[in-house]
Order: sequence, then C-alpha cells, then structure tokens
Amino acid sequence: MNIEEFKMTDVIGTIFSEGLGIGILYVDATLRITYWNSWLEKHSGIKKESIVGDSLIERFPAIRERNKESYLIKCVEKSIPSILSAYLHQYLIPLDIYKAGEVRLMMQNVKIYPFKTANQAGNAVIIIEDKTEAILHEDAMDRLNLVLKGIRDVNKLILKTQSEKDLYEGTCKILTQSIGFACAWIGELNNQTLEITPVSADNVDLAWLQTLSFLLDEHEFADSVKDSLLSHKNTKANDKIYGPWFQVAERTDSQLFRVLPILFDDRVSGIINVYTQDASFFDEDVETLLREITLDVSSGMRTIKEKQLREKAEYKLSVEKQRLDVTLRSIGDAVITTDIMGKIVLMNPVAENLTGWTQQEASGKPLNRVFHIINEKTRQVCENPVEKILEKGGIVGLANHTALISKDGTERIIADSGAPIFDYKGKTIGVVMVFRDITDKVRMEAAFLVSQKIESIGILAGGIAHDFNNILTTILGNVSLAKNQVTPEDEIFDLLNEAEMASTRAQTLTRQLLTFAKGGVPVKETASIKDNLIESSLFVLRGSRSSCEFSIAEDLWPAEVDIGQISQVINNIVINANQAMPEGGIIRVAAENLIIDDGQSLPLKSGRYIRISIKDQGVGIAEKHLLNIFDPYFTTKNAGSGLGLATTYSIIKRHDGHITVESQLGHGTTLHIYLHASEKAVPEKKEVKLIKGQGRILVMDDVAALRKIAGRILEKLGYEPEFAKNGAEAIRMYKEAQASEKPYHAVILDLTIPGGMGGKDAVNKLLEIDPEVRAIVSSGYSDDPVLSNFQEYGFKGMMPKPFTSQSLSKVLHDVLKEKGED
Amino acid sequence: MNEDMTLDIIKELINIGVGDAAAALSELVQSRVFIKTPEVLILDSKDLPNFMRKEIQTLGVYISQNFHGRIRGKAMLFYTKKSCNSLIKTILGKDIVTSALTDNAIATLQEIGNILMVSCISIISDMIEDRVSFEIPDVTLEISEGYIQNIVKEFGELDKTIFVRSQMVVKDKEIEGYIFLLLSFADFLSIIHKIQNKNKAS
Repeated sequence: MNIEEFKMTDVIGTIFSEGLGIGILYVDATLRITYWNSWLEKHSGIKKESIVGDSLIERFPAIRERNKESYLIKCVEKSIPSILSAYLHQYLIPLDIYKAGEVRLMMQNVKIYPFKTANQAGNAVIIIEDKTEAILHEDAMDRLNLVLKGIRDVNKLILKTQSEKDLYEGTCKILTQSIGFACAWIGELNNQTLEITPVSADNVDLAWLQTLSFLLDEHEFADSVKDSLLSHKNTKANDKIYGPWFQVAERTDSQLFRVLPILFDDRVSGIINVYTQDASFFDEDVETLLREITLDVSSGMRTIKEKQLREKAEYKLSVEKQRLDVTLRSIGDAVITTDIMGKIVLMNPVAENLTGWTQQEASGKPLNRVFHIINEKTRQVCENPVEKILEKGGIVGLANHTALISKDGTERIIADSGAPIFDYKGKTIGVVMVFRDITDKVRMEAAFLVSQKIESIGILAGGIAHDFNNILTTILGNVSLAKNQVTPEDEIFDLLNEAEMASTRAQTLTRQLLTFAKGGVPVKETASIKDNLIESSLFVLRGSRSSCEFSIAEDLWPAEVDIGQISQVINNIVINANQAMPEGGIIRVAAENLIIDDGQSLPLKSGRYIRISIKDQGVGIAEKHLLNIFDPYFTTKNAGSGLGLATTYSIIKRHDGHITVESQLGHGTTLHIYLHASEKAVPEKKEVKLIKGQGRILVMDDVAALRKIAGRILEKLGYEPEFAKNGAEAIRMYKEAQASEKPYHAVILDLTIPGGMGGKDAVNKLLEIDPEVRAIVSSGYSDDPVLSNFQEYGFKGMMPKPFTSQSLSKVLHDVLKEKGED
Repeated sequence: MNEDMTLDIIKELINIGVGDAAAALSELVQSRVFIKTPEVLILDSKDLPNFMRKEIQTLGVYISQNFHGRIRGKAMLFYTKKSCNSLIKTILGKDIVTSALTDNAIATLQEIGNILMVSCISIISDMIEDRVSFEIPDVTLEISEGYIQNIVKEFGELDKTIFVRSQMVVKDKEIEGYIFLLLSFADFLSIIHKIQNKNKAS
C-alpha cells in the first residue's frame, strides 16, 4: 500500500483512519509526525495542527528513554514491521486516561508498518489500540481465577484435613501460594479479652507475629473484623488499633491487608489476615470470593469439630464394645444373642464350645438350629426359647432336664435363661441366651448321693464287721480253748480245727468288707498273691457268662501287700471286665515277675516288681476317656458309680505301686498293676503254740462275751485278768492298781467303745499315769490306722479281732518280753 | 553446489537469524533467552502435510506472515499447545490455555512470532542484498489438520520449504517452535545462486 492510496481520499479511508477507535499517526524517515488522527487528538489533548511536523521523539522523549525508538528506526530504515504488545511494552506514546477516579497511563497494543510514498520511502504508520480496559479486566479475571482456585484448594483441604492446625496451616499456604498474597496468618480470638493469638502463618515468621499484641478495640470490633480493608500507605504502624497489622505490612512490603472473620457457632472464633503488594488487588468480586474462603474455613472448622466429636464418640463406643466383648468372652457362661427374628448375631467362645458351632458358622442361622435342646428324660425337642422370651417380654428360664445337643452329637445337660434385648427406645431388638453346662454338676450330685449311700453302707458294713469280729473272737477263742483241751489224736480236734479255719475265712471276709467300706491304710504283710488273684477273680465271676484264663508265673515273687485291699482291686477290675462283655467272654489274668530299671517310662523306682495284667474282650474305652477312668465318679456306664477304678487307683498308690490302662475301641481293655516284690519270703504258716506267762492283765472291752473269753484264755495262759468296760474304768483301775503296789503288767484296750472312752484316748491317759504302760490295742476294725501304726499312738502291741489263744499269747509274750517280765 | 552445501549455507543463515531473534527476545522479556542450534531441513512443499503430521503431533497456535520483495513467500510459525502455554506462562506469568487466549496474549504471541520470522527472513534478504517487506503476522489458535491442508493448497507456486525446528529456553522453560519458510523454487534457486556468487566473490 502506498501513502497516496492511504491518504483517505475517499470515505473508506476516513473510516479507517478516524472511525475505528484506534490511534493512527505517520512518521517520515526522520521520525517527524506527518499525520495525527482525531483519536490521538482526543486522548493526547494535542491538536493535529500543533503536532504535525514535529519530531515524534522530541514530543515524546519517553519513547527514547524506554528504548522503543529502535522499533521505529528498524521500520523506516529497513522496512521491518514491529508489533509492540501491551503486556510486554505497556505503551509507545504515553497517554493519560482516567480510570475509577485515578489518572493512569493507557496500555497500548502498537503496530508499526513501513510504507513508501511516491516521493519518499522510509515512512512508517503507527497504529495504537487502547487495551487498558481489557488488560484491567484480564487482571481482574486473573485475580478472581486465583481466588477461585484458592476456594477450590481450601475445599480440597477441608476434605482431607484432620485437625484445626492442619486446616489453618493449609489455608495460609493456599492464600500465599495459590492466590498470591504476600503473606497470610490466622489468629484465634479470645472473645472475653478480644486478644488475637496468631496460630498459623505463611511467608511471615509465626514466632515474630506472636510477639506482637493483636488486640481489637471493643467498640470498633464489629466493623474492624467484619468489614475491614485497610491500606498500609494511609495508616501508620503506631495506629492505636491496627498498629501490629501495619508492622506486618511493612515487613512484607504490602500495600493493603484484609482482616476476615472465621465464624463458629455464630460467633467470631478467629480471623484470617491477608496482605498484598498489589494495590488494586481487592475489588468487590475478589472480596466476595474471599468471604467465601472464610465461610469455607468456618465450615471446615465445624466439620473438624464434628468429626473430632464423632471420633471421640466412636472411640468411646469402640472401647465400650471392646470391654463388652472382652467381658462376654471372659465369662464362664455361654452367651448367644439373636435378632428379633431369632437369627444368631453373636456367640461367645463358651457357647461355641458347647454348641460345636463357630460364631462364623452360626451367624445368621436360626437359634434352634444351633441351640438344639431336648428334654433329657422325654427326648422331646424343647420349644424355641426365642419365641417364649419374645412372647413373655422378660426373663425366661429353661425347664429342668434340658439337654443341649451339640453339632457333633454330644449331649450336655444345661441350665439357662434368656431375656429380651431392648434398644434405647425400649423396643425389643433381639434376645440374649445365657446357659452353662451342668452335666458334671448333675453327675456330681448323683455321685454324691451314691457316695452318701456308699458311706452309709460302709458305716453299716464297718459296724457289722466290727460286731462280726467280736462274735468271731468269741467263737475263735472258745474253739482255740477247746482245742487246747484235747489232743490232735482226738476225733473232736479235727472238728474244732475245721471250725477254726472257717472262722479265719470269715475273718478275711470281714476285713474285705471293711476295706470296701472305708479304704484305709493297708496293713501290709509279705504274701503271695497267686492264690488271692485266682480266688478273687473266680469269686467275682460266679454266675456270670464270662470265664477266666490264668497265666501266673510259677515262681511269682511275694509282695508286701494288704491282701484284703489287693483282693478288692482284683474284684473291681474283673467286675469291670465282665461288665464290658455283656454277652460274656474270656478274661485273661496274668501275673509275672518284672525288673524295672532306671530310665523306663513307668513312674516307678527301679527294682523288683510283680505285674498283674487283666485283659478283657470288651468294647474298649474311647481314647478321650482313657485319661479320666481313674477319676472319682467318672463312668461311661449308666449304672456305674464311678468309684470302682478310683478306689483301685487309690489302693495301688497306697502300696507305692502303679496302674496303667491300654485300650482300643472294639479290641478290649487291659489293666496292668505293678506292685513291689518283697525281699522277704512268705512266712510259713506254722501252728502257733501257746506261750504261757504270768502277771496282772487288765482287759478293757465293752462286750461282755469278749471279756469273758479273753479272761478264760488269759487264765489258761497263766495270767491274772481283770476287766473294765470302758476307758474311764480302765484308767481308774490302773491308777488304783498302781497305788496298791499290785500294778498291771499289761493292758489290752478295745479301740472302739460305743458311748465311752475308747482305747486311743485311754492309752494317752495311761501314759500320763505310767509312761511305761504296756498297752495292746485290739479292734474289730482291722483296717483302722491305729492298728497299722500302733506305736505312734503309744501302744506296744496290737491284736486285731477276732483273736485266738495263740495270737493273744504271742502278743502278750512279745509285749512283756520287752520289759523282761515274761 | 551440491545439496549438502546448500543446506549448510541455509543452516548458517537461519542460525544467525534465530540468534538475532533470541537477542531481541532477551531484551524484551528482560531475561536471557537461550537458543539451541536449530534443526534445518529443505522440503518440497507438497510433502509438507505428511511431514507436519509426523513431526508435529499437537498443533496449538499458528502464526503466519507474508513477505515480498525481490523474493516473496510466506513464513509460518507453529507452537504446540504445551509450548504455547509455557511461552505465555514464562513471559506473562499467566496460566492461559490456548483456547482461552485473550487479545492481549495473542498480541504478545504475534510480537514474538514477528521477531522470530522477521529475523530469519531478514538475514536471508540481507545476504542477497534485497529489501523484503513484511506483512503483519496473523495468529490462528487451535488449528486442525484440515486447516493445514487448506493452507498448503494456497501455497501455489511456493513449492520449496525451509523447515526450522527451533528450541529456546526462556526462564528455565524449554519452548519448541517450528518455522516454515515457503518460497518458490525460482526464488529458492535465486537465493542459493546469490549466496554462491557472493561466496565466490569473497
């Protein structure tokens, strides 16, 4: 395009140069102004007539001062066009404009084109566009965008923040880093003192802030906090109220600051303080958005507080739940809870154990499927307790004889109760069942009754045995006296001998009866148990379908045993073996010698033992029951007392022996008994001859017949008997005899005197009178510990009833021999 | 003169031109602008669409400027969206996506494009002792491939293209631009001959 074409000779030219709202001027090669349009006239206040012909640089020296002249020179000299954008250059020709009451320089987009005329090359046309409004608008939009970004960031922060501290610190960072404030800090307001304590800051030192005294004036408080836009330039740092705020502005080179309230529960809880170096930063829109930020922070505060309260409540709830859970798991009773539909919600471990269902398996299942209960007697299924409880609306107990059938079929007798569970509104939301296994208790009670019966029988048996022994004593005494009056050649001698042997067997029977009744300390003697083993086994099996096979070593060592008690052991085991074979079978009874060395698994000292093994062909014992068979009252038999094997175990232990069991279901049971072999030989049963003696013998017994027979025997033996009916009488007589210088040489004291002082107490009194008293204890209770350990009680000898002439003569001989009086 | 020598001469000229532009930009943004040695290729303009499709994956801003004198042609400058955003962010400190560029931001891009393209063409015109006139550059945003096809159709006789891949670093930001100088084969040869003659003379 050339200048002639551009000379605006037509209307279009005029429109271009004057009508587009842009500044147009021409310069020639020397940068003298050749054209100045009316837009420029208006904005510069310089008329065309007064500027055309002047040097552009001289009229506007700022062009050179701001190094913009080169663009003009490049254009006129080299025809290189230039664009001077407003963002990079702000303006080419300084033109003042009025904006919001302020005078400012117009922001310009400038284009410099080269052109030539017919006469002259090196001209330039300069086109100026006013971009002030657009740039201000863009800046405002930028600020709004920044604040909007800040709002978004604060909202994101609120979602993830956990504490007020995090919220405050994050907000300060967003205000500076996202929005671009020079600094930001947050203070907590004390509503009583109106003092503000800085708690968080960014781009300004918090510790320094905390040295300043931020105190709001009470009267100006509302305005100050709710609507304060303060200019640093206009106010001094020593301002009465805002002095500390201005100090912060000074430190951060800020032009303006803004104080924004954080509201919590309709009161100001803190303030956000923002500082900017941009004097035009705060406009109405920005302020509106800043208020949004404070509202968001306030909302964030509320969220955090609510969250903290919720977490605290949840924590308390979890602690309570844990406590209840631990309690539930720790209590010894089984607990099951259900929902209103009777479906299981919770089970404690005891309930799991008793029902055989785990919590996981049972959860959601109907109660009656897991808690399967029947009447133990009628075997009828019990009513579902949930329905009963819901119907009653209160605590319901189960009927007696309720048995719980566990998942594996185990049956347990249980006691339980159930109650409805109510929510906080009192509405029923489920049922809780509490129950416990009372099988053992029921069995114990039954066993207790049995044991009481046994004890009664024992007392009865003991009494009978005692009386029977007394009778036997009379019989034996008289038989032995009678035997002494005849010679073995006499026909009557054999008859008396038979009677004596029968009485001796009867004596053994009474001893067994006593052992059964009371147990007791074994009265050991060296004996061969071979015959006893056979006799006891066969005795038990009389009339049964089972039979015995014996395998007993010919040279079986003797043992130190109480024959009566060992007989009872054999009886018990053989009875069990027989009962294990209801259809009958063979019971193999074996006995052998055994040497046990150190290191063997048996809990026995090394040494010589005899082992008795009794094996049946019965159903065997389940492995889980093997450990319990020696427990008192443990039985797998409906009719069993649970005492047989317990007594057996007790007797063997009292003999320092050991008992073991081997069994397999379907393959029978074998019990092995280990007993110490004796080093001694079995004493030969020699006929004991009468040993005569002399001396005064006091016999104390409540039974007249016994006194009588004892007196006859003693007289026959050469002694002088005297008699007392009880301990008191015996003591009195002993004292008198002592005083009369005709003392007794020995005293025979019956251990048990019904309704009077017995031998045990009497001997103590006698020892007080005469420490050298020769006292012999006699009793029909042959298992009494006083007889077993007579020395410990102060006696010099013992004489179980029934006694014979021989046994009486021997014990007197032994006792008096020690004193040298026999 | 073989093709390699021709390319070397063009490369040398472009290097000088881009260097001048960097100096001008440094002054403008008041920060040092580093220019990496530009990659220069000579292409047939008919191959341009395929070449651009391969070389420039995402087009963002297209600045074009016609020039005329004894030689005439068209200069084009492309920025990818990413480079364009980086350029605006670096120079103006604003985060503006290309689709939201304001008039003032476009004016800034025009100014930078003008500096780059004028520097490259001017160094060539100086070498051939020609005075080239430039039109004010035109800026197009978010251009599509179809748009490129249409531009190529308009090339007409401008059947030779000097392609320049220019990489500059402004305030630690790497900004990649693609400059295309389109000439007629006759003008292209004329430039080469003049440079050859000048070299011979010197």
